[in-house]
Amino acid sequence: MKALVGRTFVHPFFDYLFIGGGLSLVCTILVYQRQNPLLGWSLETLPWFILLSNSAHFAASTVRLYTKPGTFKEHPYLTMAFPLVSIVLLVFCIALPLRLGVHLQALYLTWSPYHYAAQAYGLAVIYCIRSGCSLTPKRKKIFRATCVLPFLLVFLSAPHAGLGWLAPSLQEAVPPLVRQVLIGAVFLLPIAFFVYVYRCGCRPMPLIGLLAVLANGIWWVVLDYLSAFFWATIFHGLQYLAIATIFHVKDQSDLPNNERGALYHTTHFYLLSLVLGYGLFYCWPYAFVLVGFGLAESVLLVAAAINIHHFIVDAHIWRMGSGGGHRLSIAI
Amino acid sequence: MRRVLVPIFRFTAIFFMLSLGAGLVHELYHTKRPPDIAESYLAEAERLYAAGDYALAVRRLSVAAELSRDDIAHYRLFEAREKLKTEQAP
Repeated sequence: MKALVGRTFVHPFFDYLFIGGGLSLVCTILVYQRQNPLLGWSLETLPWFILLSNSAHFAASTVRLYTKPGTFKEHPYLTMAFPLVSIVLLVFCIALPLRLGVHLQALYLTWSPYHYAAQAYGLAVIYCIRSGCSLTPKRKKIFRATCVLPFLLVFLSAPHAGLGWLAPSLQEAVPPLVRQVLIGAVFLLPIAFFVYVYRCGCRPMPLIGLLAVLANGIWWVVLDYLSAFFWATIFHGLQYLAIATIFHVKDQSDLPNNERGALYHTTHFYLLSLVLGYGLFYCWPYAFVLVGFGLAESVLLVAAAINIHHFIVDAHIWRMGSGGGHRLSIAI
Repeated sequence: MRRVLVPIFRFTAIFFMLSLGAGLVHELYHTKRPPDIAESYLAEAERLYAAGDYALAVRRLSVAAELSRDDIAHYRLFEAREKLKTEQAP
């Protein structure tokens, strides 16, 4: 039983609820039962949820990029040149919203479900490594393929994103049966993989890994596209903040000159992420408005650019072991 | 290459901080501005909605939705109309 629970970071209850996505399942059941996408929360409270979880999580990857020891040396282009490239591209997109901006927005909407799926995979692999369940490279590839199935489902059916963006006529041609098969596969294949690892005689994959993957599938299958997008971003953000904080605290505590405790590093990391998240999403768009760009394109495209920046940064900072050879692929 | 990257990074950081500061000042200025007609209608409608006077809330929200460019008034109007329909249903 203990092997199935796996070796958690904080406490099984915390890890399963926040990192594994247990809390999101409770929320999804409530949304589904009540058929109320906001769960009775007023529309005015939503920005608070988004700020505290989602905006902070986007900023957390940037905070982690610039506070993780050795990143400037390890990723010189990502840390020093990529921000300017991103800003220049963003300015072009805001200046040409109908020619370029719409595509940046569609790219972000297409990429998001893939990023979430990849994070679920990354989390599952983290817990496997931690719990002594060794996955061979071939098994990892198979597992990763099963984890990205929710992305494939969204890619085929999302409005204005995925196939709906790249080839709308093809999207209409996709038979409903394909969607039905994919929905089945989203849940059955990760479970089949879990049973396969369990029965092969090696140490079992911890249940939290399976939970993270299934939770991501449930977000996109049970809820309609807009609810899924909204709740998935909040719970994905919560998941990310929890795991990023754990790694940040470990990195900072391991520094030879560290004199602070875990609580200090946790609070410091979260507050920095929160302040940066507020600045990026709630203030920065106004800088573009001040120089004459429209409010709508500034707000939407700044959010899209921050998302894409976050996806790319994440793909590089989640590496373990010397030389970055052991890639966790939490994103991209 | 690092010689080039460091000044690029410094320039980006300064540019970003300045634009962020300008955006923050703009955001603070806007939160302090007096409420406009649409906002006051919306606030009034919120109060009526909370008190259960959906018919009057719908009237206020219709004006707010007409004047405001914000989606919230339209959403609230839809919500209040639904409530009113439910209330008037036999």
